[in-house]
Amino acid sequence: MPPLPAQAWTLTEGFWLSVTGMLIVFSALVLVSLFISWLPRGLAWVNEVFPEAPDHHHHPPPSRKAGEGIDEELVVAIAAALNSRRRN
Amino acid sequence: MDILTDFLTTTGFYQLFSADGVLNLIMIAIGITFISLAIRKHYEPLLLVPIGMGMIVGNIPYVESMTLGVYDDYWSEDGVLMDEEGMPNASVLSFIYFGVKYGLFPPLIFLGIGAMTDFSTMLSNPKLVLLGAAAQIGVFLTLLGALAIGFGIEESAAIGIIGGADGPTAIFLSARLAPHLLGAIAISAYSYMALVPVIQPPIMKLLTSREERLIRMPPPREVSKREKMIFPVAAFLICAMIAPGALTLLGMLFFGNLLKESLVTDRLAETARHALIDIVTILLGFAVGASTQAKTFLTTDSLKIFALGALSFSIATGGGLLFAKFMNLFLREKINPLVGAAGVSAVPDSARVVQMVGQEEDPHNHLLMHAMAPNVAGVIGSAIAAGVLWGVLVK
Repeated sequence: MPPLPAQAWTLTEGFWLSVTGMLIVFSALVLVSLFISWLPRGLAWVNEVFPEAPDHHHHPPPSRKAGEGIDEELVVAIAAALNSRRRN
Repeated sequence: MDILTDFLTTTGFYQLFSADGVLNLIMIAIGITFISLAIRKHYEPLLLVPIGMGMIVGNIPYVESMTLGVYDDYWSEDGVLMDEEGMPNASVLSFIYFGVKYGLFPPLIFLGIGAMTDFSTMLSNPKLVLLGAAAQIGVFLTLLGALAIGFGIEESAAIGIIGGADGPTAIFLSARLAPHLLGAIAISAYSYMALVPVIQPPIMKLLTSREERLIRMPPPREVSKREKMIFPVAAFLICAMIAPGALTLLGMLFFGNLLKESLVTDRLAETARHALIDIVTILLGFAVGASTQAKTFLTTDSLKIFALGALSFSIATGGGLLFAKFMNLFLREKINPLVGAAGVSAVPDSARVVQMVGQEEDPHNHLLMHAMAPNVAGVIGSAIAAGVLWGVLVK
């Protein structure tokens, strides 16, 4: 890249550059801060207006009561093994 | 015999007796010092080892016609880098330095930083973002200080950005505005980032009372995945539209963060925060070290830059602290003003310093997560500050 042409700035011009720079940095981050503050409410509004449709294609596994659907033969085998250990 | 004599005149030992020979030896000694500080004291080892080794390599004296150094690229009048036989008329080190000179490496490092940064503490307490903005006063007051002592405006802006406490940003801006000061600015920035635990605590204790240091802040709220996904795109749009000069750095930072938070690009995020950032750090550190040649580095300007660098960190620390105290005048739920010092974007060291100083007063006061908010906001703030200076001075 070609070198920049040297610019002669006075201290006063530098002062106004600094003030402007700080204002711009602050403005940008204030806007970011305001956006972040608003974001949870905005997302809540979107969820209200466009609720997520139930997923018809995905079938969650049916809820089971305790003990349902467990392999009974395996349970019997484990219980027998535990009992024989206790006797020994 | 002539061949041997000719060869002997090309050796580094012979060249040491040239005008800059002693200065080269001093730079080599500084490089060795950096390496030993990194290994023995663990001062920023990931940077000081490549920089130190680069300094040693870049300061071995040689005959100029051998085309070995970072500055040895010879462009023809037609803008061609090839010689008559089609061979590149540039050294290997100059090709590596290309990434520094043309601002390629710093944005790639920001990509990796974005992929490893968690903005959730900032999202959970948005007002702490303002402390990251306040700390950028260090950039602009240092710019004024540099202008007052005789540096040109481009040089002053490049020196001022040291106050952003962000190595890649400092290198990115100074490579464009003041490439002849790049070495001193980079060394100054990284050295003071390593010295944050030494510079900040006295200022923090001076500017806050014991009651203020004891303030406890409520735990941060939980942030949803959606907020974390939307934030990088929205924040980039806001900041880049205001300061387009920052779009390269902020674009890569928020791109990396989106790779992390989208949850569908884990492989890319992993690469960005590990392999990519490590490769670029090696090349960047080495090239910056090799660019610190004695003629350009051992000058009174470098001493002034080191002094201004210390000033910029101190002002940035004070700026964040004092703004937190100012905010407390209007807030019902007070901020612990120590957290303001973390607006100096040396992530995560300044947040750790806040935690440490807070726990000296109250061992059960955990300020680290709160301090991370201004810490990461400071990264954004320093990139915006660099973007403003770029926008005004690069024409």
